[in-house]
Amino acid sequence: MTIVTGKIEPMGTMAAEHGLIEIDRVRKSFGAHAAIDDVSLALGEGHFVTLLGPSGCGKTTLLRMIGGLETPDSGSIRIAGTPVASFSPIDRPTRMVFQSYALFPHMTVEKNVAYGLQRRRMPDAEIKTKVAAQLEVVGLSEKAKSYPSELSGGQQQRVALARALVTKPRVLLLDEPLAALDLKLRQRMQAELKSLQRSAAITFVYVTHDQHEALGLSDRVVVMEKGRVAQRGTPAEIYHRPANRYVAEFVGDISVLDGTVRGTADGGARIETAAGLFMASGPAVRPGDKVHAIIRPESVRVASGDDGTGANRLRATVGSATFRGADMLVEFRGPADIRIQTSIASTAPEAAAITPGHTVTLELPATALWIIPADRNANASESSL
Amino acid sequence: MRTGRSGSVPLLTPATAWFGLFFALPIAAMVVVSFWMVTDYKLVPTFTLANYTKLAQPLYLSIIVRTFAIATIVTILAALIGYPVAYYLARRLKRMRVFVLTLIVLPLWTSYLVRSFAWMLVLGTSGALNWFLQGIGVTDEPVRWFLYSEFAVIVALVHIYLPFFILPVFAVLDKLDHRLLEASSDLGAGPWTTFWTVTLPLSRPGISTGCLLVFIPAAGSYVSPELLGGPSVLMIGSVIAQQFGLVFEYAFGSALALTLMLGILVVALGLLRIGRVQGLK
Repeated sequence: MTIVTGKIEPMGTMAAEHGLIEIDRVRKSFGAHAAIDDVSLALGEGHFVTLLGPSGCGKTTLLRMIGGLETPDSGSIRIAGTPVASFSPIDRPTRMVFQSYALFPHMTVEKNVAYGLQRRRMPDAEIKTKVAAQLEVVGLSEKAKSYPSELSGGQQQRVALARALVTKPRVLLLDEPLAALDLKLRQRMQAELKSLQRSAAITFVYVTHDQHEALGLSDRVVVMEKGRVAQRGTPAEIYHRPANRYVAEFVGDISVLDGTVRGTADGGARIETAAGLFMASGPAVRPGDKVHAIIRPESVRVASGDDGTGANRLRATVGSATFRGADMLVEFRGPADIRIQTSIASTAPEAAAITPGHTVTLELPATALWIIPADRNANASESSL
Repeated sequence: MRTGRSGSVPLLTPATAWFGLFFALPIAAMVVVSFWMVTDYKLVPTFTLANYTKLAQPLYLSIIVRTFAIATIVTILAALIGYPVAYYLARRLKRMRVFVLTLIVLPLWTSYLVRSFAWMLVLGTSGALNWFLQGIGVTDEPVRWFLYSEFAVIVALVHIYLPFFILPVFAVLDKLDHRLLEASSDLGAGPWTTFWTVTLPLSRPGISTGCLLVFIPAAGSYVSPELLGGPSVLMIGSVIAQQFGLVFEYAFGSALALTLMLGILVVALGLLRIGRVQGLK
């Protein structure tokens, strides 16, 4: 969780990576609605890449275009240098795991898994061996003769994975594959997916709207907003160095201090806010710029002592506290009605002091206070703070 | 469950009574009557197998065979014509769907009799078809076998019962999850392979229902063969009608009707078996 100081590129380094999947200025509309609006991306081989965003952001459309199930209106998608559209169905290096699994209901588990191999005209004996081995991997050997309707959701999910993986694709496309499962099962399947991806050494492109899933599973996250890429990077980059407020809020809770840049330093800036001057880190800004300084709840520290005048400190009053088991989410109110969310471990000594109305000193470490440009569409009263 | 089942008995009573009164009872009566004799236009309750041995006569045997042959051909033709129509409607047509569906169902609103008569006007020696063929010079004289032939009966029955095949197949294909087709294509299958391995097997319940809905009325049809088949194309339906309405041979008529029912039952059970797809709930 260390914050790298120094020269920071908020867009990460993915653009420079050699891409197995190269998406170049792709657009796709359905009627008047632009589902994908000028997206360019390079996704590296062997990575677990997540397309993250709310429903309607275009992530599934992008996935389907990579899989050749949808054709871009303009732009190109290449896999290993070859345009997706020019692959024959059998040579296509991608395989899709559908949200609803799309298992063939009239075929047994075994036949479902064998389907892709049969299309490749493999000898029956070889198909049999491969299917058995793949079912072993997903732990469904005894269910080989069952029909999908006789299986639980988690088991169906495994069959869908086995059916796709047995054909040895270079890229596995997964469209919210865990959405239909309950929480416990979802967590277990996440771990299994991750280890499957590692052991099979396949590139996974995974679509989800669940930020925990995205941060926990991925090597790379692509956050999407209204058909565009809002940010791409490693989960840590996305979480700790969001490019804008949309990304910052989508991947977790934040507290926001609005301010104006008063001076710049190496890898950071001094920002004047309603609660005083704060040092913050972030991308290069110029004095006079309107910015947001954001901080995650777990980075806020309750300082010992009553001195609210030190560096990056402010006095704040406990507004509300929500007990969450391992920690408490506490909302503080600072000067000028600034709201700061903090999570405090339930077992921490200072937890006892958290009672509504109590005033404490909060420290917002300069390394954790991150600068993002002020919302372009924010109204004047908000951005003048 | 047990209390639920015994608790539902009173609820089922009206249905059971209805079923017994208007279905089981008449059939039981027919079974009994089919083993009786008719003397002087009156039923005589004397046990005899004569009615059934009479069925084995070449005349009646050929009528039974013709009936089932015509019904089978009509069903197969309805399936061959109806399936592509239903497929096109369900999987290809987007905007005109309701309109085309209405067009398909519309003939059902007109009388069966009218539709049979209409075919007489089309197929007769001075009918539309002959007029057209002579007009374009395919033939000099009117073709006579268009009307009063098995051909005429088959054409009319296919036309009349086609909607009954199209509708259930349409219903199944319309509900077919398009992601299954995408999955098939994603796994490397071409459109034809996907059709044979996914679409067709999953439309079996609809095909089976459609075949049943065509075969049963076609095998029992009476008006169309009467009007369009002429005296040489007798089907069981006409013979049964004659036995009851013309010659008052109730006993033999019952035996014929039961034979027809039994034959249809065998075919229906076979069709239902074809329609059962393992794995589908």
